[in-house]
Amino acid sequence: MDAQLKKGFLELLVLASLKSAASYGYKIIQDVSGIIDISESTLYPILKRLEQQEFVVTYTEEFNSRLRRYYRITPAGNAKLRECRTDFEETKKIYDYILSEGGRS
Amino acid sequence: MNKYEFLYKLDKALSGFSDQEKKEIVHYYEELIMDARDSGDTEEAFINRLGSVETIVRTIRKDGSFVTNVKDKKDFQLRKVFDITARVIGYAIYGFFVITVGSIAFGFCVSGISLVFAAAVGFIRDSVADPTIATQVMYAGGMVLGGSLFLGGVWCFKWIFKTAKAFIEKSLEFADKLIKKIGENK
Repeated sequence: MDAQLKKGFLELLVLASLKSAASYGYKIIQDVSGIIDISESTLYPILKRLEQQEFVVTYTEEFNSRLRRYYRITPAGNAKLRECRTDFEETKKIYDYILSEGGRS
Repeated sequence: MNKYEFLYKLDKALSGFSDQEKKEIVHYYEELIMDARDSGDTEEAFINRLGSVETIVRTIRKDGSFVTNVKDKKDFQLRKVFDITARVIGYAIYGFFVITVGSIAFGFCVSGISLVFAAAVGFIRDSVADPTIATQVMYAGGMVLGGSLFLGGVWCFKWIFKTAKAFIEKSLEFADKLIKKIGENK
């Protein structure tokens, strides 16, 4: 997949994986890697960016007598995901055109 | 490589990041390793899967917001100031060096040429007036010595130009080390 396209999708996919419940690094990779190729070192900047944009908030919780960092989606993050609905309609039109005979439809 | 070795290497490779960022990134990987182990992965295998520390750092650094973050830091300004200072000091030392070694080289060249010239004149004059082998050998020796002096001078000049770049680079390297030291003490 095109690198620019993938970058945008990765952010949304990570955000979407938090929709139902807060999650942590290792689990996010497990959840998302079935859909898109993601490595541990790509996830870190994505989480950082989502946090900076205030689409997620972080908190630490004890697990197995160690601290684990959790990421929870914010209302702004949920709103961002809802935007995907309109994005999808537009993107679909674009792809339909790209993949069609080329403007003759 | 075990967890501690990996995290130590990672920390070292994260130069240019703030202490806060370094800590966060190291924690992030520590947590990943422990979660991987708790899910049944072996530590070693998971660390191998993470790839080289260099690639990890490059991937994190590639991210746009990180680059601006690092650039926005005072360290970046400091680095620029140090870069310029190092260049100025480098050129100053180099200038002094060129003048000193240059004048020695110039002296070698000039005295070499005059010695060759004087020996040649003496050789021609005495080959008529006093053509003994001893004086001829002496003058020939003088010419060889003069010639080598001249060549020595030329070599000195060449050497100066060759060392010029290395000199500046060394001083920049030194400035870089200094910045790192200051960063660690903060």
